[in-house]
Amino acid sequence: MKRTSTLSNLTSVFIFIFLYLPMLSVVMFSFNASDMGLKWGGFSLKWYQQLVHNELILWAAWNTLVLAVVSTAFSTLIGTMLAIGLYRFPWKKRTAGKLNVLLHLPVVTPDIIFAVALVIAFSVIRYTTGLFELGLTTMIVGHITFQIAFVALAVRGRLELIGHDVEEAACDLYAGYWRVLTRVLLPMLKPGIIAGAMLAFTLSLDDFVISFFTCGPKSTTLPLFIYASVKRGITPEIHALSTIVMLVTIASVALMQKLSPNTKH
Amino acid sequence: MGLQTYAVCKNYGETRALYDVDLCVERGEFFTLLGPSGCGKTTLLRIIAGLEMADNGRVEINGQDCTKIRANRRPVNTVFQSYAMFPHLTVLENVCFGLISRKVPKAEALEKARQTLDLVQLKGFDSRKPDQLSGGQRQRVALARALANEPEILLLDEPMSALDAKLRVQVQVELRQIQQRLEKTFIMVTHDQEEALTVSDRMAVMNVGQIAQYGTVREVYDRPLTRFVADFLQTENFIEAKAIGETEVATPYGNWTLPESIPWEAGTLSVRPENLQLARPGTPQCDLQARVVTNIYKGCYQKLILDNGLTMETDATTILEAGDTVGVHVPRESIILLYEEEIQRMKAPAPDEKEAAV
Amino acid sequence: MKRLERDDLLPQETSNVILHRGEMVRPSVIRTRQAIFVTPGLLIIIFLLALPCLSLFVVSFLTRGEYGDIEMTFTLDNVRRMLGYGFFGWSADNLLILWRSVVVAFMTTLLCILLSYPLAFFLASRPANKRVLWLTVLLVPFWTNLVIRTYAWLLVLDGNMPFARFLSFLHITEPGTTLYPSQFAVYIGMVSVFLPFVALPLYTAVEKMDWSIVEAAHDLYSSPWRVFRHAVLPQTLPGLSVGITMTFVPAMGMFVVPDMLGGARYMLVGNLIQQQFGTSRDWPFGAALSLVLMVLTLGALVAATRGSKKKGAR
Repeated sequence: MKRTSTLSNLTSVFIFIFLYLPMLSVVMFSFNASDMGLKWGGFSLKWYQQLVHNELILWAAWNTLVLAVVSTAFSTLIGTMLAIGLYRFPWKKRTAGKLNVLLHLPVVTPDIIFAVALVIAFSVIRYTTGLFELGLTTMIVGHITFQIAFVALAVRGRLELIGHDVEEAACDLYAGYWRVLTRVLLPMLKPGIIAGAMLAFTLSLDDFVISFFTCGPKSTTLPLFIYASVKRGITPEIHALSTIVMLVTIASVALMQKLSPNTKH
Repeated sequence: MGLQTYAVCKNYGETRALYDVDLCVERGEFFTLLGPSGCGKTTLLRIIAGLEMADNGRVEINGQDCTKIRANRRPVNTVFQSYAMFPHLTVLENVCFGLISRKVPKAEALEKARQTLDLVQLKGFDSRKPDQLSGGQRQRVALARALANEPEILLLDEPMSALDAKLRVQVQVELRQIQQRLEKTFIMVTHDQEEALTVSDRMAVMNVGQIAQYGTVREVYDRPLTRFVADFLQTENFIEAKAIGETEVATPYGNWTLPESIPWEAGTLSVRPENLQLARPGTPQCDLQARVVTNIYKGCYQKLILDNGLTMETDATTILEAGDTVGVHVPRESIILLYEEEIQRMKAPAPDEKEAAV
Repeated sequence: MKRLERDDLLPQETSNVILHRGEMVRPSVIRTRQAIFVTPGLLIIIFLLALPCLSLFVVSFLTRGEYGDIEMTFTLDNVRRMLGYGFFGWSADNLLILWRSVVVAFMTTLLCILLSYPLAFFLASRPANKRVLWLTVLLVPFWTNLVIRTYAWLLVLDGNMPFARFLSFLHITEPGTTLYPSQFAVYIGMVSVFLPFVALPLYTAVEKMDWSIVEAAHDLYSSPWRVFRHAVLPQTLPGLSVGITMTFVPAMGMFVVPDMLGGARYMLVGNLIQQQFGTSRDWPFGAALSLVLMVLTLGALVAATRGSKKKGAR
């Protein structure tokens, strides 16, 4: 029934080469024994060994992890609440429309404007209260701001599937508000919440621009570290680091594919 | 006394869902609300369950005003049309849910749930999840989940609409047996007249938010009062008639004398197809003659569509072809006099009249 | 039993409670719960994103202080600078960068669409059990960190690598020429970053496509272009419009790719904004540039929703 021409097959092969060639060259050079330039000098694991002893990289990796975990935890909580609040309760049609626009705002705003907005917001807060010196905290808050919407949208998709009658059935079976919420609604939303959390986590790992603007002088994350190193000139150590980051990405994408219900068929 | 509603009204914006509905359901009977989709029957059920708020009126369960009692305090449980299973809980946990909500000790709740699952013949399914069950099994779980709470009244919202035709008949009989064994009040909503006849003691036929007729199954089936009810219960022959005497009417098929007096000057008569009889043309038995347009063979009987607009059902032994001329006898006692809809909107008897009647 | 008068019953005082999902509560309770659920999320989005975005309208017209701070003096300097009037007379640099950003975003989107159609058909024609695997293969670059993917191109485009050697072998470039920073490198980087953004929604649309229409079209018209125009395009338009918005909007603000692959020679507005908030510490001018980018973004979004609505209505 479905047909493809040779042309589309050839183009697709070309596209996959185009997408993977650069990434594979990074992997290849991460095993290069040669110290200088891009000449192949034999297989070696020394860059990986150096990596483990580089305090700066370990610290950046730790920061990246803390940033991702903490921001995901908060944004999952807040985003889930937002989705429930927006879609489980009655709103006037107009208000609902406005809230919907507000919810989509973080999704459509280009990174750089998002970052500029955060920088302005943080400086205003710093100016008035003295809090929020640029650093890990501001990065976390920044990430939470863009993650919330993605979590809320993931949970909303699930909420729309559930419908009224299960909650009504719970009420009919003598459950009070709290029991309906914790024993029926939240367990039923679980797949959506997990999907949202994983999306948030991956987005946090993937982000560069927002971290770059809100990091301040003292904190760094792996993407920031790689960027700074590339600006100074590429070292083989960065190849090794990037390879590890890519491996983590592949693992998390595979996990996400496995857990997401709509790709199961 | 089981359930009474007085003057229940409900509007959705401009649309009238229920208007001035009085209903009286006796304790221990199987009562059915029958009507086409959109007639307000589900809304009425949801108001009784406490899932919908009446605009005005009152709902009493066992003489206690429940209008303002929350769904989770009412002695009523519902079997939802979609079954509304909790997909994350096992069958046993689903059935326990109501008992645990009411803080029944866990062991006791589990015991009760197992008993109820036995009752609906679902042994050994305790630890399955709802998505591992067939439609019929899910329906049983939904029934058990509601029954486990020993409600005063069990409400069933089109409980068989998701089942296939064969299973439906079987489940209807089982449902009736369970109800009779438990001697509980069941109120069911359905649009399927056969289902209503199979399971219920009494029923109410609803039309556009009002009760069109109300009585025992036999009463309603044998004596539909309005054209709507007659039509909904598949009385196919409607005959326009004029009164020409105390008991005599003029119809397009001739003048007939009826066994009862005629309340109107011009109106509609109705005869069920299965009550029309074949008669030899020329005999005094033969009221009219007609040609067969179509003969539909139904196995144990055949359905004849006649050229004068009547439909009749006879046993399949007489072989008739399209084009044959037949004589038809219209038994006078089977003629149903229909009333105008607006004039004869049937009301439930007021409570004290009811008491006087008992 | 006392007989209930009809008049006693009508109307019931039920207005002080409502039924919400089977629960009978006072409206104020519902409102309180609603507020509890919604407030934290909305506060964050409003105060950290929406209001700061609106504040760009104000900051754009303020003056830069001596130490990179903001002075509350109204000025149109930033507008003039954007139009090219600087200390050293008029130059087209800023306008050129803005124009270039739009062109690069447009061309990137176009290239991605051209490449995505064959890819979407290829993916949709894979056997169902293998499709998840192929999708994962496409998703991995999509989720790989932007910085890593961009710097990976630095390796591939290096003068000593086979690609550059091949070009010099064809006498297109001098031997040993590194292919970045250049316009070519920027396009390569942009397309590789945004390709999955178009390909994934397009694939979803192609998967749902009704092939009988395509077959009917094959029967009725001979030219492949007409088949595409009348049978494929209308059916894949929803996916395509999602892909276009997801590419065009962020491509205009992209700053990592031109920064690493374009250098100072091929700056886009994203780099200019970053400069103002970074090294130059000129927030008002940065805000003015962001404002322009925001307006362009809004324009693109409005155009996209209008376009898809109009096409859908046909």
